Amino acid sequence: MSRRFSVRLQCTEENCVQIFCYDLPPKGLSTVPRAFLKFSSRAFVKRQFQHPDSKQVFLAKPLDGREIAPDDTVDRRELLADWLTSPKNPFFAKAIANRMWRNFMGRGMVEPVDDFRLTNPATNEPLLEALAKDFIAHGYDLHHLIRTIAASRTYQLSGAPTKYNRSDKMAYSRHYTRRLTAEQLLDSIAQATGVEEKFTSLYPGTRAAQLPEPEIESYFLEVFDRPSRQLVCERKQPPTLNQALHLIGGDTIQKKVTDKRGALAKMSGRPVDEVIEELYLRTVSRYPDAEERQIAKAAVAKAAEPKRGLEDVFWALLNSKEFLYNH
Amino acid sequence: MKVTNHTSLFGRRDFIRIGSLGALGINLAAVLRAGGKKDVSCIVLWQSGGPAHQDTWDLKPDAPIEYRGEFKPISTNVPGIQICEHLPYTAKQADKFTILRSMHSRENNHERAINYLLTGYLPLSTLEFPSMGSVISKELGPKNGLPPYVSIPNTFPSYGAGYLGGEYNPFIAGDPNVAGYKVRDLTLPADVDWARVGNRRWLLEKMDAKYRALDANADFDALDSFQQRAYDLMRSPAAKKAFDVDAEPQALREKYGRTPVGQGALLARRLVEGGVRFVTVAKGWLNYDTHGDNFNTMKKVLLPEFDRAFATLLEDLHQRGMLDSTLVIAMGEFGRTPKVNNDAGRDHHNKAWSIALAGAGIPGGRVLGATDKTATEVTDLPVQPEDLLHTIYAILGVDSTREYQTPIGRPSKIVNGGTLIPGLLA
Repeated sequence: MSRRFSVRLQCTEENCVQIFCYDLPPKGLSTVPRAFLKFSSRAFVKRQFQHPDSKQVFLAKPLDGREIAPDDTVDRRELLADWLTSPKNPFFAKAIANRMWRNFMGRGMVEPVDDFRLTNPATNEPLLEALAKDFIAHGYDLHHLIRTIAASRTYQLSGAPTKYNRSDKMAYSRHYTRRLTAEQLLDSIAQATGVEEKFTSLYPGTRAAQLPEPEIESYFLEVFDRPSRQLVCERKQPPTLNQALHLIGGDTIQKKVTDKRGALAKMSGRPVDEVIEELYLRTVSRYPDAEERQIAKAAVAKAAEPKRGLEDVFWALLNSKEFLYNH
Repeated sequence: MKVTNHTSLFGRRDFIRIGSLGALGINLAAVLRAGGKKDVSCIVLWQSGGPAHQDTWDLKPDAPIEYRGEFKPISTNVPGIQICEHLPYTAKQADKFTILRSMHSRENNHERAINYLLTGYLPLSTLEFPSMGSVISKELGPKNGLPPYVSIPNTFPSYGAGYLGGEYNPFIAGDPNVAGYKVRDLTLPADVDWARVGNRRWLLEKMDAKYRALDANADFDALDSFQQRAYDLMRSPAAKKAFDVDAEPQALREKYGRTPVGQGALLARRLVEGGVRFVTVAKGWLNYDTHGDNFNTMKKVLLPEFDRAFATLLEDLHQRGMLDSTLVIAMGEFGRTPKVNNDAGRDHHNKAWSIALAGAGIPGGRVLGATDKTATEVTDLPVQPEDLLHTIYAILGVDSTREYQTPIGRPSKIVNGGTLIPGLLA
């Protein structure tokens, strides 16, 4: 539960009295802070908490400091929502800025992305502060925040390291290479091959990134570790043997590459040279160099028929690191 | 949080010290030697959610009704050992397994308790510890081109390799109970032959060479290693054979039970035969979490399917002479509350619970450890996850006191301490 919010909340007592308080740090069980909220469905009914040892009764007190009387009928989730977006809340804007930054840059200034605490400082505190302030100043406008990050010089940097920044992993002196996520990869394969992915009961043309819920069936997304959207930092997507098998033996790439309405089929009859060039453009957004043309042509020549050879080139491009990684 | 420290109650350390010197004695080195020689594999029948110990292995017929529940004990083929009446097949195999009635855990929340029991560490927010199967993968590696760690039907939280990296994650086998079960993507697409695969791999290698020089990203290697292993697996006759549950006689398939757990246990046996080192079989996620309607759920669904799967697996392994080299464990992350709640269910209880262990030199027909009159507290031989994992690793030939380096260079032992369970192997 705690990870659905921006900042980690630690469980301090069995059966989860969630301490939701930072100005009154817990000092052990005998001094459970007075500000607490309990977020289980049952707890919304319960408005007070009796300490198991001292028998002292505490009234619920949300983070803005106001005490709630036991007979007050206010929905405590509303109080929580008010507090989350209150300019007085020192955590929310920074947490969102950090998350957005991580989304675009591959690494949050605070990592793990929700682990804000004194002993885990941001790699660039002034920058995080500035982004958060700007975010608040623009009325918590996410588009504004995204635009600011995307237009920055830092975001524009290439992923190719120089001899000076090869070992840099947290100063953003270059773009950090990372594998496309499950949804990005499936959408990229669909776009490159010109054959859209069909999801049961959704309009044709719906992309993986647009799926309304994680339960929509797709083996590809499942095997590439699509998150269940229960927690905020659950996407890990390590490479697995099942993924490798699916790219080699599975039907996703092979079907799209050989589809009669697909990009390759539409190019039939055109000179091999031109098709190779187009395949490079479609997958890695650049022209092949002389050596790459040679290699691709050699592969086509080796194949039983040119069509199959070109399919092999297409398959290899879709499996290449240059395609699989954001760089 | 209230933690009862059983260790301090009745001098467990003393017991272990005596055990390691005296008649119960079997030290780590001896176990490691034995394990190393035999090449022991492990099958875990994972009862996710926490099965009620007092409704399976540790019945309390003399406790008041609100504690003992509605199940009655039955005798087994070992005089003096009784288990739940809804485990009739298992009762006939009691000479092959040991019931350990004295597990206790420091975690009472599913995710955390599962993590604890599969890794041997209390969960930390800053570091993810590797699960047993992942450690076995790293320590012992693949055999016969088969993946060392397979998870049936799927992978679940805490099954993974944590800081060891994705390379040691489990291979997902799918549900062998579906008609015409095949491991997904294990064969080439219809119009692709191995000559074409050669062409494709040659191309890919050339394309990657250039990009790889550009940035040496850590998971490139894992990606390549999986690709290599995928080709090995696809070409391996041993793998094809191991995954082919359809090759089993119908009668045996029925005996295991036509359930995901039953067929999963059967597939696990085939996989171990083929060379897989660690197999986890589960029904799913938190199936045993019977906060409500515990008795109906247990007797109608959970226990019958478990009973057939577990009993048949032991019998089958025994008949094939594989039980000595296969460690079989049936466990969940904790037990359930002694008192039945208002919804006829039982809630989480981590102070005392039971598991069953068989094979790999563990003598059968025994009960180790004990709980009090209501199965609330451990009264004899307390065992916590660290001890269990330390013992499992020792049986599988891995010294769990070895240190790994975490990604930030911090040394971390395979298991956070733990001692051999006294008497388990004696």
